[in-house]
Amino acid sequence: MKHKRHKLFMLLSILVFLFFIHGLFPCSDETELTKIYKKSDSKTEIRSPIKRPLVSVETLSPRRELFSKSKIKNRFTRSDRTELIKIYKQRDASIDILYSPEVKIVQELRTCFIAHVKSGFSSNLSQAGFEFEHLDDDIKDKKYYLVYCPSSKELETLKYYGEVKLIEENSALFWSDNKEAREILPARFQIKRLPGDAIRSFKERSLVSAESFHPTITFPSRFVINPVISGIVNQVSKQNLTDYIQSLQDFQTRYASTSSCELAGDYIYDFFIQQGIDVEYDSFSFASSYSSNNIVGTVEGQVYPSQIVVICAHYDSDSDQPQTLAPGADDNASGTAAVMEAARIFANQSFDFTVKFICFSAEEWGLYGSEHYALEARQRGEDIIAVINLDMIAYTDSIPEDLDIISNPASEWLADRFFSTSITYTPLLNIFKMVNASVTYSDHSPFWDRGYSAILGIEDIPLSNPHYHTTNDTIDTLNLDFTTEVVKASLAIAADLAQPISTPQTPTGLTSRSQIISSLFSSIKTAFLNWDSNQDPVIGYNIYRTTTSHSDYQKLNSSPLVQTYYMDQNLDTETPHYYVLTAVDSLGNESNFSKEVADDEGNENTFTIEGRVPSRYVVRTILAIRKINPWI
Amino acid sequence: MNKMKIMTRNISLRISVCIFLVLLFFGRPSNLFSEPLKLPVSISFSFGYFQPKEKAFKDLYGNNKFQLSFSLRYVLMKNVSIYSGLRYLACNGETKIVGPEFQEEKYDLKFTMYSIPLALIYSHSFKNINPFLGGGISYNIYREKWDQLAISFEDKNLGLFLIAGAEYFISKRFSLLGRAQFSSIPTKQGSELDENVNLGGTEYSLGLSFYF
Repeated sequence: MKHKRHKLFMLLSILVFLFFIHGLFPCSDETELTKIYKKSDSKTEIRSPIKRPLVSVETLSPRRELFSKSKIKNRFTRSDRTELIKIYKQRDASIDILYSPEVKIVQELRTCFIAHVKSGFSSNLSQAGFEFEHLDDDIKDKKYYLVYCPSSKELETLKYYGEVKLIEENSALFWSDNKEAREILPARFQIKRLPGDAIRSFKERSLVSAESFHPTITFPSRFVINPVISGIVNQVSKQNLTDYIQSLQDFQTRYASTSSCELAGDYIYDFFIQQGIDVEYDSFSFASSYSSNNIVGTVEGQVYPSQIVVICAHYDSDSDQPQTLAPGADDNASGTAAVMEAARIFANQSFDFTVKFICFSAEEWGLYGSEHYALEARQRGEDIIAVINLDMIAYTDSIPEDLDIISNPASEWLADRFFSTSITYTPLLNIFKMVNASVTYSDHSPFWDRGYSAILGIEDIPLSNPHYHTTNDTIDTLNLDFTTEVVKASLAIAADLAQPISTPQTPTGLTSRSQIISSLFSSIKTAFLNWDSNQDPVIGYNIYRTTTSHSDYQKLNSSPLVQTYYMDQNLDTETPHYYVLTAVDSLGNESNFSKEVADDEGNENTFTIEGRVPSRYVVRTILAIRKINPWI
Repeated sequence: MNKMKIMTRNISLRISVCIFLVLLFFGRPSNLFSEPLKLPVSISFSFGYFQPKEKAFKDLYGNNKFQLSFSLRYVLMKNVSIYSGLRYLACNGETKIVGPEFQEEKYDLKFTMYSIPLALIYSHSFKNINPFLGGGISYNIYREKWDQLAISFEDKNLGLFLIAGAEYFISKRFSLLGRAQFSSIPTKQGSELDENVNLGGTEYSLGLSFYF
């Protein structure tokens, strides 16, 4: 009996042992794969991947998992159709999916993205934690526009002209096959054509629908009143501005596609030539059969010519009789006049960085001119530090009027900088800052799309000018005292960003590389900075650091550094750090800031996007994509 | 990494098989527990090596780390007992550079871990040999400290483990103890080196037990 029990126990032990071994070593990959392929083969119809239990794939080893997931996805996403969808920003969603080749973000708004997505792929977004909404089943041969719709009545009107989907509170998506919205919609509608290719402005922080309406004062840590900038501000002439606006109004119409608009472009071109600055036509075509020119004037930087500050406005106009009469004094002869006055004054100055004066065309058709310029600038790898776009800066519905400064979250530093320079150099001007990525109806928006920092200066959002896009938008309705103050503030920030030449000379050659040191649970970053010796006699250098690009610089050294290198240790690996450098002479004078460098800018990394070394989170994202799709 | 995992698995498998071969072919019922014990409790001290399964752990601290453990067994019924105790692991290591390296930069590391296991053990006696097999959970408190910088990380986590081994009775109350333990302690924490660190691994230890 005892022996029998013992044998029974032995048998039980063997069974338990086998069960334990089975649990420790799950079934082989091949067996599991075979199961999946058998399942896949048995289904002849194309089904949504969400119906397929992908969970079974997760038990595979990583390499097989990549292979099989891709296989499975490909089976269900073979359709050539590309859908247009709206993806809601969600803080807890996994952003990696948005970098997937099947998703092309074409517009970022305050609360959502608009994206092209391969048919059938959208369900993967749900798995990544994103909520989304279908806007259109097939994007082929269609032109989409964002249209500002402040009321339900306007939305109903819009529906009369084509397909409409409400995107956000005041923004609707509009399309009417391949038709140009400007040619079919009444002039009062503000429009932006959606880019056809992916934008690159969206970042992890964009998943939070940041919005702020409260101005903040942010001075650079070394902020002092610069007499050169004061001198520039004092040169702004109300009379000049009046003359420029009058001259532009005198073209009767500057509606893009008319010869009169081209003549206005030539007028601006000649004006730039007269000031003695380099100027060029930036030609582009739009609406299938038209072409026009952006006018680009340049004052090249003396120390860092590749670093660019842009001050811009559109010179085309619109009205309910666009072919014959569209005076566009406020919209936007006022902004164009500001750019012309900036060119006149800056032509006689020397700056560390390059300043570009750009007058865009075809803005009223959906931002064609600025879209063309911003895309090409990105493709050329232009390092545009900041874009100051002025659109409608002359009408005041109440006194005192304030200037609205609009930025997206990534450009908030620039809005703050505008605010701080404004109260320093133009204390009479009130500023109202608004951080809202959904204000896309002007030429700053394509720069946001391409990942540049840009702000819009405008008299009022929402628009308050009753003559907007009418034949009554004439100079006699404008308040040019207000315009003069706005132009002074705009020139102050442009000069502050471009840095008038000073002594000692601005140091050059600043580079930074960073390495990450890690244990099991903690990581730190060390940045190694190097720069060239100044040609001017200096006693040393100061290093400044910030975690918010172009603002809040904090000095790292207590006394000027004699050497031309610096090691910054124990940095947080998750936070980007930016550095600038100044030189100090024997009298204690400190130079302008050098060009700003990111801590990992000089890393010899094989991963590059459009010729730039990406910051580490981008590299991580690329790696994450490679995890999803090993063939990228 | 995969090769190492496979090797560890193979070794573990072989040890388990050996123990069961002993169980199957050489075992006979023993009379160890036929006489009632004063207390159904044993204590043991053991020392041995811990082989981490995480590559990042091996890279920073090395492969075989010395460890000490104290354990208690309370016999619930004839062949089943509850196992608990305290395990202490301490090791020194050095940080590692992840990604591009521009200059040598190292900091000394100290890692300590206390584990309190709780398991059900099945054992069977064959003459003087008492093989056992069991599994349970462990409560782990661990700390990693950088020597030169004020950086330290401390956390607590639950883990799972399987234990197998054998005792050889050298007297009625004393036995020599040999055991292997396979543990998994997923932390869901990590660094640039490894995003999700698992502090588990394989332990081999020898010790001495005393039965009351």
